[in-house]
Amino acid sequence: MRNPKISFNYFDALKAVAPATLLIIVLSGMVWAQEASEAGLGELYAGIEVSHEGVKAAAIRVGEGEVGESVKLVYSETIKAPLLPGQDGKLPPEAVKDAARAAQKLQTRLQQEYRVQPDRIYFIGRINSGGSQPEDLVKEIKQQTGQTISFLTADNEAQLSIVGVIPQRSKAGDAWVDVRGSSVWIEIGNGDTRGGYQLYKKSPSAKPTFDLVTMNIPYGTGIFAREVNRQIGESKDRQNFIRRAQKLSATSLSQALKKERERKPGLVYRKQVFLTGTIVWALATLLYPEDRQIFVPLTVDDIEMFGEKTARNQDSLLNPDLSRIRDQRLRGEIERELESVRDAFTPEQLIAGSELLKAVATEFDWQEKKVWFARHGHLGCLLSYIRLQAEK
Amino acid sequence: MKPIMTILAIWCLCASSLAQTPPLEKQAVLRMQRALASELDQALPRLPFMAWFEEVVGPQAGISWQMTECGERDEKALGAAADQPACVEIDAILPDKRKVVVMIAVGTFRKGVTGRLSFAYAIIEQEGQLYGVRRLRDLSQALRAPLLPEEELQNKPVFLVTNPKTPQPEIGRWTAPSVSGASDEPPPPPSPKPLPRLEAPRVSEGPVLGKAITRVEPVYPLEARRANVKGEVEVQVVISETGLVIEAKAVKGNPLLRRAAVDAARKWVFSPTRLNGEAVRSERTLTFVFTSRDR
Repeated sequence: MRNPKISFNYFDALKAVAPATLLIIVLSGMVWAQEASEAGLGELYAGIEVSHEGVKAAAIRVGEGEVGESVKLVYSETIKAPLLPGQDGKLPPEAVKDAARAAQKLQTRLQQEYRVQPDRIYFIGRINSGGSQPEDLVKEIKQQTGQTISFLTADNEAQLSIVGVIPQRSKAGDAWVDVRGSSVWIEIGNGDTRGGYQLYKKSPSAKPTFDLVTMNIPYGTGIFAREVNRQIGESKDRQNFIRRAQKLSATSLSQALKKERERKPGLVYRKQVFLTGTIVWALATLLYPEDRQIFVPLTVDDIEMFGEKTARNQDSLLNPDLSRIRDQRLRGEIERELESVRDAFTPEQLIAGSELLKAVATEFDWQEKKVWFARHGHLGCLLSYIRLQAEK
Repeated sequence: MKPIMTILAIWCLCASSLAQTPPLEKQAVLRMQRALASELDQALPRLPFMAWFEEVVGPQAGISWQMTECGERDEKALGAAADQPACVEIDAILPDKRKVVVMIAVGTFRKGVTGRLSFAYAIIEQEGQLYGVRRLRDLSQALRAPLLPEEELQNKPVFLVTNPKTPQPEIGRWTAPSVSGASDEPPPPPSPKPLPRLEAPRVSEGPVLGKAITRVEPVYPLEARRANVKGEVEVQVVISETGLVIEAKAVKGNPLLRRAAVDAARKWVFSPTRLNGEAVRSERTLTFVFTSRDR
């Protein structure tokens, strides 16, 4: 987990910058952000993130607020250009080109529409490529954008994400209680499942510092679906896919998760779980479409129900009844989001994703925990990074 | 025979109150709750540890505990067969946003609770800095100081990015995290508001507010959520001499919500009620409020 060559501590850095402010930005949504953009106050900083999920861009405006520094999100966009490694473990050249073109498109938008200076647009990569740098992606991005992309280590990414996703504390009655120190972040991504939690580190002779425990297993929604497909060969039978997915979940996936939980007790003992990742977004959107909260509470029963519906009745799952929603604006917004969910997954990926979720929930013992879908968590890492750079 | 039965009954209740937590955590927390502060540091009084800790951090502090690794993780030693020291971590956030962390070593994650409890370390997180507290007896004094001297600052890391293959932007030097001031207010706290629109169960405890050391919110039952059930549930609890809830009974409220409220109430921990200096058993009523939110 700790590589001395790349052991910088985003945790401390970000907390020093303005952890909660950042969260407030991340969590405050686009409408507010748009106003900030129009106000034309403060300095603009932006970032472009290339990952298994696609290419994301975000811009923030940093200025003087009434109380200290004010930071607002002015823009965010995701282009679906997922970078999944092929069977040989390498990134397919066409996918690399697509991702680089998407990055270039977003860079242009940031510069032309949002007037972000080129040197204030930071490029980061979140690619699980077995520890090696995807040189072809670096080259392609350089060629398309003229910029150098920096790849985050698992530690850095977990630090940025934890700070960007998990609130530091919350109110319980009259008292503040710790949240971040008793929570774990888990992202069920397209290419892998990752996460981590914060610890204190102290030995008798050393000064106390923050420490971090990270986890990563090489199964994400897309990869898991592909692996199941590979195993069933030409068969297009849905039931066959489900059976094979369940078998794979009970063997390889479960083993990988067990290994993580044995070495990282916090994955089991932490009382709250903050989830990110597209399959979690799909679950929250499909089961609770009108719940627009920043943190949507989920239960193991929800995960079970989601699994049940993905396996037996995807049509009803993908088309929830919205007739009870009378607010037309809200209903339109929900319908657009449902459309995005339907576009984002194949039926097999939904099944694979739900199996992944069930396996993680079981192995990490979520039954008695508070589990949250962090709605804006997908931007947590990128925004934390931009904020960090802006502070320089 | 009767006293034995009573002891057995109390033991069963205590055990069931923690039945939903992992076994090791249950054991460790029970052990911690039974421990005296003087077991961890001879200079401390013969008070239950939690009562002593609450006195030190004050009744306004939000206290929580969890099982965790005891600090230094040795990655090389953490092979598949490696065991790790286990600690109970007790966290308190004070009204001024300082955070106090006390780590008590209880055993290992594989072997379970073994031997004597021992104080591992304590940390005060203040203004983004981490301060080590060497002995438990020093905690009270350390907390009384409004600001610790600059030379005691423990955590001023220098952050470097040196990716061997791809050049990365320089991150620079940062001070440690900040936890005070208006800009450090947390985001909207995560409140359980599942569909149908139900707010997080608000918890009130009448006249004993401030005595609760650990408050556990009920988990919304799925059936209640689906049925849009809301309202108050009153739970009568009997609190043991050590502050554990040993009996919990719902006396008012919708049947769909009662079980969740009772389960939560069983996990509450109080500082012991005292009569003439002696810890005594007491009774309280906790009210859990489940309300819907209009939109």
